[in-house]
Amino acid sequence: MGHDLANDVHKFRWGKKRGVGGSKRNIQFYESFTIDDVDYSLFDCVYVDDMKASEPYIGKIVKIWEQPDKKKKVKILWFFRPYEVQNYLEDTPLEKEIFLATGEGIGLFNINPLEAIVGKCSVICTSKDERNRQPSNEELDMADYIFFRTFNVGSHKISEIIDDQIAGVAAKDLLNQKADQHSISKFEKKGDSGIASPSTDILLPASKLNPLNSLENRVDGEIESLSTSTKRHGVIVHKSLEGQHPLKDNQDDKSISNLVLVDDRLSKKPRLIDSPIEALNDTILRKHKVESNGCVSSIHLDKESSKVTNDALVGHMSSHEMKLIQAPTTEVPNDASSRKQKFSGDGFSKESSGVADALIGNRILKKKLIDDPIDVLNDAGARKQKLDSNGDASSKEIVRSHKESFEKHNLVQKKTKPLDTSLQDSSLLIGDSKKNDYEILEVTRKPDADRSRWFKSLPWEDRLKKADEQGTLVFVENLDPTYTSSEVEDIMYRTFQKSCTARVIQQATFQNPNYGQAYVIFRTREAADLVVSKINKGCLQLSNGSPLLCSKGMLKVPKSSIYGHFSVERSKLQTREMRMAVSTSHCSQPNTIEYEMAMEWVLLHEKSSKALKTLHKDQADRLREIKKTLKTK
Amino acid sequence: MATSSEAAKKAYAEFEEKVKRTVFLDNLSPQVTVPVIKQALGQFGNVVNVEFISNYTIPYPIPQCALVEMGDEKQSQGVVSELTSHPFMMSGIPRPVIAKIAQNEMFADRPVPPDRKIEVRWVEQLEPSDPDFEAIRKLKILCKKQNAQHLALIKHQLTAEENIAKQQEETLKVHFKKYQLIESIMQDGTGARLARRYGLRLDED
Repeated sequence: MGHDLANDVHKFRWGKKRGVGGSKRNIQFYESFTIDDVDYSLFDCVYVDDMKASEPYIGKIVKIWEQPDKKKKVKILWFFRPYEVQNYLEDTPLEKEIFLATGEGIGLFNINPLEAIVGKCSVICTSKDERNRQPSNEELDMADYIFFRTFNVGSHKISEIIDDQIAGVAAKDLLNQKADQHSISKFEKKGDSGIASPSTDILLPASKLNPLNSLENRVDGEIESLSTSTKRHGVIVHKSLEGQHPLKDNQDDKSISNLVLVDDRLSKKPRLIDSPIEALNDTILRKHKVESNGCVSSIHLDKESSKVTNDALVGHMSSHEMKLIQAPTTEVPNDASSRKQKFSGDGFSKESSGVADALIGNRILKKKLIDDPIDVLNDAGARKQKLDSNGDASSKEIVRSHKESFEKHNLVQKKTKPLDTSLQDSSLLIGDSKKNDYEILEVTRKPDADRSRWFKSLPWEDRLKKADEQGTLVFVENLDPTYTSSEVEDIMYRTFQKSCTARVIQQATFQNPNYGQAYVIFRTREAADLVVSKINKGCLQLSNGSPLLCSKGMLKVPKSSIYGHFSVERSKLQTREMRMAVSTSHCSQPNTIEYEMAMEWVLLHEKSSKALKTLHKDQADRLREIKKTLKTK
Repeated sequence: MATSSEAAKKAYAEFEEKVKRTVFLDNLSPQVTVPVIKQALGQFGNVVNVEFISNYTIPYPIPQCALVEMGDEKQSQGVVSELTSHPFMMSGIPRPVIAKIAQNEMFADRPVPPDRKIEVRWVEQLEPSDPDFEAIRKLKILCKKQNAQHLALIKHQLTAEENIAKQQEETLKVHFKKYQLIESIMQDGTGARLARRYGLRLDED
């Protein structure tokens, strides 16, 4: 692998310990770990790259441990891509479908160095199996991959039956995690990062701590009962939100709730509500920072909810409500990302499962709200679309949260940012609405743009070639020539939610200065195909009016060569001076034939650049003329 | 928020400084390597970094070009003025190297200018009823057309280069033959004989 030094470069931290094992009891097992602020925990799906395969492998982490020699290992249960099992496949696999390894034999799982993990991957199980929580449509949309069939590595059979145990792992851990489970895990995380928890800690009955200490051994019954009761509140909240009385709703909530959780849930509640305003209003945001740092009391609650009403009165209630409703998933990370950066470091140790407990209800409530965000909203197409995507963003986060129970700031931030933008966008649209029906996306920074990468990337040239072979390479034309590589990445991310690596073509002598071009490498061939077909069929228009053009693959370019350098045979060269002249760099002297010839070249060069300049000027004029005819700006 | 935008501004300012002290070299022989450039431009100042710009898009064999970062702005200006006032040869004669001050767009890894917002408008399916349907269609075609024009001009220019190269090679060959002829008659004594006949003294030349 050659990445043993990675530790020095990448921030690594173990998460929760799980137990010790091995013959000498010197192997430490863990439940989670963090690399570069990305949390990985048991049963997360990840990409694993050995730098040889064309695409990274996909697998599920089923065991994490550190050996006595300090080597970090993960046991990974594999998924197969359709092409890997195509010989055994009788029908055409679904889009995004992959196959879970099962049975016994080579290829079921591997023990890999932890460093082989390159990133997280969202895999949703769509099996009709009763043990499996059925995913929502949003989850499916946002999933990188889905699976409902298994591939038996021993018998080479593809089947829809999921065994009770695969590679020593119970099936329930392999299927979609139960909503309440993920909500807990999510909030275990949020609880410690977004909320200053000590005070809450104390308030909670100690008895609550136990069942939640382990991700594994939860008492489902308790959770179930919690969830039913909170769901009820969820509906109420939902309704009253619709009725435009966020303040009242809080109070309602308070009065109705008869659970242990009430206080805590309420303490979360205001945050739930004020977050869209945070997004919209910086000053309030700052104020909230202060408030939410402590344990949020009901006084705060009132204050905040009145703010909500104020702000919500703006006129477009429904859309604001939408935001309110969608905000829940994100408001904590919002806070977290904006100011809790330093807390992230030591968060886990102080983790309070009590908080997590208290939050279950909240979480479910949120879930409930988000499940049908679009129903609530009956608004103009543009706005609806905006909010749709909003909903997507939040549901994406939910999907993620299933998988990434210990997800941390960077990633959370990643998911929140799009929401922020679209929130701003939609408010903007509401303001001067209906100028046109298009969805205008403001391209902001791709959230993970600054995240350092686990692997040192290959030289661009090699990556291009590799991507070309794998069909993940897209050539984009008609860009604004001033766009930078990262802006191109941002555009792709914003428009297609696909991360990619882009590099603009450098504007040297022979590039057309009116048009920017770039090579974009996507993660998968499917993503590349999708982007190409969508861009070419529809129209992705930039702010300068240019519609993008793109094509798959690499342009054929011959090797560079130059006319006008003469390879005179060495033996023929008269003098030592002349030999030197060819092999070294020098200015030529005006009394030589070399100088005269050089002058011819200089003349030609001047002529050429003049011709190119004239052409480009003409072209720019034509371009401008047509752009003037654009109706929408 | 404020700090991040300030950082971006700072990074961009730094980048612009770097652009100013970078020289763009064109018409380089494919044989030119980083050490060659370092040595060649080392006489004008401190060569900090050399980066070749690979050609990914022009379907013709074009000369190499490179970005050479010098120690400071004065040095880069010095290089440019020196190399434009005198034809400068690098790993091959007689076609000289072209030097210019680099521009922002020549860097693939340039930072985003601060406070820039990009908006994209997404029209999922382009309908003829769309007010901009015609214009957008035209723009797409225009882009392709102009790129084709552009490439055609480049091809034309490359042919011109090829012609001039051939012509020069021819001239050189003729010169070379002339030299060879003179040398041979000097060596086999013909020159001396002729000189004697015409009463000239050779060593005076």
